[in-house]
Amino acid sequence: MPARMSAMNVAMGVATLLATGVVLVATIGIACAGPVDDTALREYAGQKRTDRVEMETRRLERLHPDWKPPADLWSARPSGPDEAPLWDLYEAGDLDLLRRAIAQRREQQRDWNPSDDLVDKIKAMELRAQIMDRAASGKWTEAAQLASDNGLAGGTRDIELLWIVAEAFARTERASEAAVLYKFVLENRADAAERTATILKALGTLSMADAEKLIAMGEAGTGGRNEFDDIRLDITRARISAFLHNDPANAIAASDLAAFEEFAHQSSDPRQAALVAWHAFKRGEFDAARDWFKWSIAHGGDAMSAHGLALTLLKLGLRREAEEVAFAWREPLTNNKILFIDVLETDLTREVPPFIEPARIARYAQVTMKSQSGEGAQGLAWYAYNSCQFEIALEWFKRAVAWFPKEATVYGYALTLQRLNRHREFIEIVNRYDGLFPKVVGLLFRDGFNHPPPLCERQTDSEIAWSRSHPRPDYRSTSASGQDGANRPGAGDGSRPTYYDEALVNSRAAYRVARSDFPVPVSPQNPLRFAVRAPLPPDRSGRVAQAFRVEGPLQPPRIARRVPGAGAMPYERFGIALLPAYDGATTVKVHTTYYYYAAAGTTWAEDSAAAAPDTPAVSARVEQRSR
Amino acid sequence: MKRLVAALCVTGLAVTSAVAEDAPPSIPAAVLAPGAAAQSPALVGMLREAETWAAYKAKFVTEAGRVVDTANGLVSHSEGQGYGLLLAVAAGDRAGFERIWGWTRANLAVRDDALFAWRWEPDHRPAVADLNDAADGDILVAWALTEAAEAWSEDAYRVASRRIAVEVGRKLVLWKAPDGPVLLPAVAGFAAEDRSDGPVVSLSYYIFPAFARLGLAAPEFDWERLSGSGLRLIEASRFGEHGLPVDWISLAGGKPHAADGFAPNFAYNSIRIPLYLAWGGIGKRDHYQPFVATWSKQGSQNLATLDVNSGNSIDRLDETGYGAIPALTSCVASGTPWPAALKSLPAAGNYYSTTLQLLSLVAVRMRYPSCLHE
Repeated sequence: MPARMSAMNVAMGVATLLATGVVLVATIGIACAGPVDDTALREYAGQKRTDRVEMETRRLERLHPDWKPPADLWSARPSGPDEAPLWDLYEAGDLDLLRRAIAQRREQQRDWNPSDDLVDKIKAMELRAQIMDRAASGKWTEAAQLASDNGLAGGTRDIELLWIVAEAFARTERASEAAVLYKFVLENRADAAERTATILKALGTLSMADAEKLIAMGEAGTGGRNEFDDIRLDITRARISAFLHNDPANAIAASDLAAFEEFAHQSSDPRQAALVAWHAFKRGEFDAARDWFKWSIAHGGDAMSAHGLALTLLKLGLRREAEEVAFAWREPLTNNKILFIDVLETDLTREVPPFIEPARIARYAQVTMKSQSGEGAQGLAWYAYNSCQFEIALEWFKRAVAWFPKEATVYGYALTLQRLNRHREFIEIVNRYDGLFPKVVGLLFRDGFNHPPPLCERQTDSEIAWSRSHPRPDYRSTSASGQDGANRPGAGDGSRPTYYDEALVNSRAAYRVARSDFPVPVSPQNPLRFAVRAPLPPDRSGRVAQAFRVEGPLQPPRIARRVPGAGAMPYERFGIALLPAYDGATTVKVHTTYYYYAAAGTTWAEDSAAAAPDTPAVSARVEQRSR
Repeated sequence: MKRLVAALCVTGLAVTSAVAEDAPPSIPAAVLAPGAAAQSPALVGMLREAETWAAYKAKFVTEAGRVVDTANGLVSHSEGQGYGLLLAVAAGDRAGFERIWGWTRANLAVRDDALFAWRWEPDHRPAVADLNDAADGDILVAWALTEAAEAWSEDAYRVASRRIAVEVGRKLVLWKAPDGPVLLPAVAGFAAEDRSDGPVVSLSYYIFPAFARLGLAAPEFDWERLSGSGLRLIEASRFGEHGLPVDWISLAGGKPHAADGFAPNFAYNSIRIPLYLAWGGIGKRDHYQPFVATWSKQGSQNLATLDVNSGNSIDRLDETGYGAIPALTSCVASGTPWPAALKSLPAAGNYYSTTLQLLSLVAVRMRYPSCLHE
């Protein structure tokens, strides 16, 4: 199942959940290492005080095991004691003031220049500020560019900056460069909190497949513990998320999942339980999914959890319950409204409709009207039709064709008009959709097979039995002549196509279809409208006289053309040809062509692949619609 | 130095929330950062020239709600319907919106999904020319419905916008493409399976202002990422001496190049690229530069489509409305004031150029109002 349900639904559910990660992450303390402060060291070197330099070097090495003394320690233009006020400004992080102070100093002392050390530090600080600024305003491409232009792509000791640069890479489809930076930390830094926080960053920015490689670099500590065990829950959460998105990730160990479930139960955040629920849902464990969704909702879960519950109930065959949940949660979330419409639509459109309480129909009609749902309208229309209430069916079909003129809808509308003997209207519909909807045209050109009469016409069982045992011969013969290609008039001569006028005369179809019925010119435009509600408020342009483009009389042709994507017209079996398509095509692109295939790489294709083996068509349709 | 480090520590902890916000690539950003789409400016009320809108309707919109492409056999298409809907919302014209939406769904919603047949020709039987869709038309309609739902709190528009937006996200975007999401121009005909040089894209179908708002309708898709990859595609699609994109671009082999079977022209499609950039309020000066440079070289009286290889002009774009896009890019690049003449409907001018003019006017008011001096 998970089928088309729903990578989408899952994705949406999960999305709201992952925000939860914050809760955990915030509990991880980060010892803020930051860049190594070698100010004092350089100052001693500038004063050539080797003993002090040595002591300071040892101190820094103790604090930062991977730190090495700068290569230019002795050669750099020294920072004299007169630079002290400038260093104060630098330490305060006030670049503007610092720049002004330097300018001022240079005005007073023409031959003075700041020390190399200070100049480098200022440059680095400016770059850092620029990158942070771009990141803060969401200009990730620029942030990433600045970083790689200034040699930061290989790594930096400034861990905060490194994280931001990695994030900028990850956000701009440069994930492999982000991974390099995170790896740099794991290879060069010993600080436990930094390493752990780096994994958390990676979980947030990289694909799980890339993050797994970093997690694998975790070092074993004492007692068999891995250094990343403290963030096990976060890693499990990310793996669940990847699973829900069909992204590759390591399998979730049963013990990890159990720990996460335990955490979800203890958590005050209902979204954690919902994540467990979506996970169970995707694995087809619907009983568990139901329990977890319910638990989530009972603890303040949102409308998306309710959506998950409704989908789960559908999977469990509890359609009625699903309908109630979707209805109850329809206002806060459009997904639920759509699901409510689509669930009952399936029941309503069954040829033998199940009993549905009038109050349920009434509320369904209300939601349908309010949301102008063509899906809902056609459901109600078929329900009325199959309950032999044709006038009511007609009203709903009109709305359905105004809002949702699909082949099945127009077919139902035409069928109802036919049933009510509204012949001219029926003929108009068939002619309007000639070339587009074979099923509608087929109401005039029967397929030649014997069909049981519609339910409302089956008066007695014996009549039904009789019609089944006595196929009408004329239908049969039409079919024989129509389907045998060799006998088709005009078939195979290849000289020029045959259009209706001549072919109809020659074909047996002519016996059935009156020339005054088909093909006749009709307006190609579907005129049905059911506005939101009347009257609409006066609009801004109401002050100006309303005028519309005046359309000259349309000159509708009588011969249909080929429409790419539409099936063959029923009369084509008599050898009648259609005019070429707008692009010159003459052959049918039937339902097996690329018109109906999902392009590889779309979510549609992923869903279809998942759905193919086991999803029943009907539920697939509901799920497809209820995303 | 100590104080600086301390300050960073605070940032460090705050930044950890990015773990959640960023999640793996397929996690929808819009949901994670609630309100991102809601924070983007709304469209309603951005077309204040009531006479201009009324004149537009009188010229191009039939009473039935059909937007007519007057230079092109009086046909209609989902793109035109989408533009009409957007302008109606911008003009605050709910009745006009309802009229155009009514026609659109009654006549183009004939596919077996939530997308629209892209082309409708009044003098043919049936009028629908093709059951294929056009991504830009679908996106424009979904976006317009989203704006209408926001503007008038209308449930019906919200339901419809979600159904369409979800279908776009599901059927038309290759979310996991190696260089970031790719927007296919239609369900059929442009993917790698359909053409040897596929996927083929049109950069003018990347409607950035729509991506900024579709998160309201379908938050499970990361529309922002789609914007990002579109922007990078524009950077990578600079051909010929002018450094301009062509209308149809093949992404086969990784490096964008002119698609087979299409003229290598910067033409009617591509001129909308800077319009959408500006309207989406994205891009750097550098993104606008090739357009600004080309048009300032051509001069406003001599706008033309170009063969990017030879640099030769192909068609003159002499209808007044076309000048609105250069006016918009000049405003973006150097704050050039909006010409007063481009606020009202030109006496002559067909559907396309006039529509582009009104859209540009809406874009400038929405994103660069200082150029209007209002």
